[in-house]
Amino acid sequence: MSDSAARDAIMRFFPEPPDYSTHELGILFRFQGRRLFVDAHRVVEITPPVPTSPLPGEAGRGVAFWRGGAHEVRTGTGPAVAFLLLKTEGREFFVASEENPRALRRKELPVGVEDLPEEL
Amino acid sequence: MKKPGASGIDFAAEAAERIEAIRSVLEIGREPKITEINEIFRAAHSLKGLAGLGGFDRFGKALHEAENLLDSIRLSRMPWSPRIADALARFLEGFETSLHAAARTGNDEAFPLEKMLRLLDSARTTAVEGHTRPLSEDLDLPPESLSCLSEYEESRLRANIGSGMAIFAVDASFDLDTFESALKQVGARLNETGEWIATLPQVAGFTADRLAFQLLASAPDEPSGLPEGISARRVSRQRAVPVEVMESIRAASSKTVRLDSERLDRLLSEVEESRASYQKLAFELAHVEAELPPLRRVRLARLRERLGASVVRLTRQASAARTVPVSNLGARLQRAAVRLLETSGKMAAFTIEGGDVEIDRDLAEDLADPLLHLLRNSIDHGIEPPAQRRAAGKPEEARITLAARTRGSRLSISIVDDGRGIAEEQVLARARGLGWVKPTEIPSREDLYDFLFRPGFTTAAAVSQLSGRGVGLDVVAQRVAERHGEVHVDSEPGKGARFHLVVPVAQAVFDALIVEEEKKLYAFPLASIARVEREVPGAPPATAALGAAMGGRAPSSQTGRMRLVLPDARTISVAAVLRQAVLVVRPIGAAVSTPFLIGASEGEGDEAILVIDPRPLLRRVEPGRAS
Repeated sequence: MSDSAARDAIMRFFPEPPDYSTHELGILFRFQGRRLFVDAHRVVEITPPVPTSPLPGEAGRGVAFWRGGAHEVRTGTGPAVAFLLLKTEGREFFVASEENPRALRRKELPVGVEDLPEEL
Repeated sequence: MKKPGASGIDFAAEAAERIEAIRSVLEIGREPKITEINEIFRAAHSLKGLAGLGGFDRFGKALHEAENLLDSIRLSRMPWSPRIADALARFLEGFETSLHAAARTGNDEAFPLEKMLRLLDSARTTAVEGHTRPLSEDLDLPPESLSCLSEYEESRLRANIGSGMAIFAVDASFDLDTFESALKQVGARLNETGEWIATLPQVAGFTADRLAFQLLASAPDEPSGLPEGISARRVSRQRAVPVEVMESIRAASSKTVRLDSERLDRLLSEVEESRASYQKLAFELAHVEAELPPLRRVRLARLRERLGASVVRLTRQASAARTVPVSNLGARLQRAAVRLLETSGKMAAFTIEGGDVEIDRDLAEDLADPLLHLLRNSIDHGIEPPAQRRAAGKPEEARITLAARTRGSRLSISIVDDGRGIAEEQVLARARGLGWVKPTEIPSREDLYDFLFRPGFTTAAAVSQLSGRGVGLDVVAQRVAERHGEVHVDSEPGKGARFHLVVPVAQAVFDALIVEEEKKLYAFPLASIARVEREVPGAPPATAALGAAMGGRAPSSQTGRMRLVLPDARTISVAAVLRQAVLVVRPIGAAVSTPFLIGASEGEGDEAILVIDPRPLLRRVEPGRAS
């Protein structure tokens, strides 16, 4: 994904986006109680929660439609306040965040924040 | 020698579109129509002109020969044949390879001109010269009229007569001021029922303010609807053609428009948005309609239904705009098979099953290389030389099949051969040699086949001319995985092997049955359900209850539930059957890892409706049963 697309996604979501390039920025969010950080260039879109249908037999996973496409959703344990559409290895998927995402520079991260793992 | 620089790059860039135009016709998988031959003739002509402008003499000479070959075909001096298609495809490959070099060096010295000229010449000499009978034997026209015909017009007359069309002469005279538009009007009318082939000025009927013409046109019957005072008379001695020939000729004259793929994608995205919005609007309207006076309610419902049908048609047509038939891909593989078999000295018939299956253009492009690799593998390692096949009691000519079918939003495409199958002992020995298997360990057949797709695996003792070029089946698996697909292998020693690719398609549009289970909506492809029944108390239980089969709870009671009966009489119990609908189904990331999930469709209330393939679903509850 291009840098400008990630920037657009962040600009759309945050009322006052931080004045840094997306190379420096990442998004901090909470998923299943863990505070996770993802580099901004992997963020395709940040949205309010999208109606999600649970995937049968797949706890914590569901399907949601967004702009005409069906996306896999990694649902959290608590109620979601936002969805992050992330891109990894050519695939896009939503991650539900249990708190409002924040745009931060990596060096500003609070203690105890993990990088988004390969497998959620 | 030319200096490296812009000219080569410019030429390569300019040439790319023409090359693509020629290739798209060569890969059609059938004999090209005359309009298509004309199109690639023009592309070859333009390429020759570009080569001349750039000072690429070697390219220019070869392109001149290619142009001549195409000219002979379009003028019906020689017939089209798979050998000519193959020669042109090989020529194009050689040209394109040297083009890349020319872009770097600014010259065409690396282009194998002599080899390419021999290739084209060989294709020409094997073609049959035909259609030499004089036209005067078929047409009742005076010699002075026949002598006015251009070579192209003669060829079109011959082609039409050859296909059984009748030829008509239309005599007409027009005012000098308006003759152009009037002539076009008559010609357009003739093109509606056949082909307007020639326009011959006539001396008789010519005055100071009027021009006279004789138009020659093909048609199955006498053309009707011509302007007053103009009539047609039959001049050919052939009988009229059947309707299907007429249809094919009409199709040949149809026009195509090239559209940038990004624009097409944007258009399709808009269509999809419109469809989704319509669906939500219809849902809301259905609630409002109940409160309206009867007449208005009926009118609104009718309008809603008409718009709904139109949206479904639009979605289907838009979806089809991005697709190509598998036969296109098959034609490319078929030509490769001819070349590979020539090199290998083996014999095989290549057939295509499911050639009419439509797949996304990008997907077809992405699958071409993996399939070509599997084909190479099959010819190099799979099928045996004729003597070995004879000794094994098999026909000398092997069979290689490209088989394609869609199942919901997944495409299944296989390369199947009746060769020696996978040499499992060799695979095991190689895996042990690579340290992947311990000396005492006996891996399962499934694990053994998985080794084939690991980087670095090959059993070839030496690098063969056909495969084993350092690129293994791992690349096939990688390319398919990039499309979120999977590769499966079946093999039977001495009987053959089947490499089976399963990939999700961008979207599929099909009729579905929408059901409810545990207060959630699901859909089944209508084609997978034979009928629907009400659950009868005391009757034998259904093969599975939908919720339980998907990992949920079994229903506490059968009362009020419905039963979906599959064509093989197995049954699935659901809480309710809601309706039948045309769904646009999209793949989802989890689709491949959840085999019974075909994809998802956007519901009326924003939720995703999961689309279920009943057969893999039932395999979960009847693991021992083959379906």
